[in-house]
Amino acid sequence: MNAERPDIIDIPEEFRIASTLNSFEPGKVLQFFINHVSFFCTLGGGYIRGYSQATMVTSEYSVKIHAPELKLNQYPAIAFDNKELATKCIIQIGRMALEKGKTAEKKRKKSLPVVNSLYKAIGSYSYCPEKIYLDEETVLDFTKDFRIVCELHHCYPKAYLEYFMNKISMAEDQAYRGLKIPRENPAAEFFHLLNLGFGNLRPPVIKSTEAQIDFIDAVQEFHARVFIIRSPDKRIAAYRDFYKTHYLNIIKEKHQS
Amino acid sequence: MKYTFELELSEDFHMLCDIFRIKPETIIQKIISRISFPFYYSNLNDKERWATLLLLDYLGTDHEITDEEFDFHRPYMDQLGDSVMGILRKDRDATKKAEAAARKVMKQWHKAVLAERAKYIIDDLDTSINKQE
Repeated sequence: MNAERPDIIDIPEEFRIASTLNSFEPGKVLQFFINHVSFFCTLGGGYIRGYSQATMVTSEYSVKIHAPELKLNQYPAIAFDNKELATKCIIQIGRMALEKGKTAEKKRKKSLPVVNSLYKAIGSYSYCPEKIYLDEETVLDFTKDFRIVCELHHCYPKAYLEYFMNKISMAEDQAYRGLKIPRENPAAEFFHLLNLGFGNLRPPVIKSTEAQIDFIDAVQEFHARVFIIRSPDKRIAAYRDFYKTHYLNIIKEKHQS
Repeated sequence: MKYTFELELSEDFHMLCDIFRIKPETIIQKIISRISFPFYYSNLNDKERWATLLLLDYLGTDHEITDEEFDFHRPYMDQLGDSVMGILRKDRDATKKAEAAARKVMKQWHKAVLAERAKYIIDDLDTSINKQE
């Protein structure tokens, strides 16, 4: 891992596999995730499809992993350009989240001008730049909400993005689902929404290649075949093998054409 | 083993049997003969694997199996998978050997299930006799 370089994002293999097998580009998935992290949602306010899951991923990382490691005295206090205004904005957004009688999405939209003011009041951003290069061709643009969340939690975007990606594993997802073991995984839920068509991230016309058709043929059968594998770890390993084989076939075919 | 039962033939199945002059029992017998874990797991690419898949899909999605039952089945399921994979990993063509090893596991599994169920029946009898006394 490029722990020393906050500007280099590592894409884990299983995330690449999940993206490829579902006809998504990893960069588009990440950008869509960034776009759905909402400062309003960090303060509660009700469920909003996509926003709640994406924001929950960042909160989960901040609370469960980052905060216990964080030694606050080693961190400089957040350098708000206008501390008084920033605090007022945060309180105001918190109040809006608690308002009754409005849908969560309406409240979120209503909070956007205040988020804008908060963004200006914070002023300088030491954790999250405006954009980052994922590779030579792909730029990730960070939203105001995302930059605010990074700044307030002392988190580099790299940490959130890699945490999100590491939580996505088709093998684990399928194994747990098949064994009917419930688990909470907002990152997987977000990815599942994309699979259902949320965000329209797939290219409009997917010309299926032979390897892709092979995969679609084989996957249904594989779900049935693993019935006798009752250990979660063994079932995950079997799925990992299966998905990776098909992923490599698809990649190989792409390079040949 | 002979087993007699009545079936409700669906209209579509009935029509197909009529059209192609198939005896319903012929095709049903063919499906039943192909339903086999030892055959399926030893011949994963064989075109005759579909009948078992029908059963596997039913077991995996529609059929209710309790956690206790799964706890009981699990060692046999593990053994089944391990014995077939162990043989085929060494020699991909040793399908007959793998099938025979799997069948041995199935027989042990079946025997254990019957013994377990018999135990429950006897236990139940014991309690009801004790109650009557």
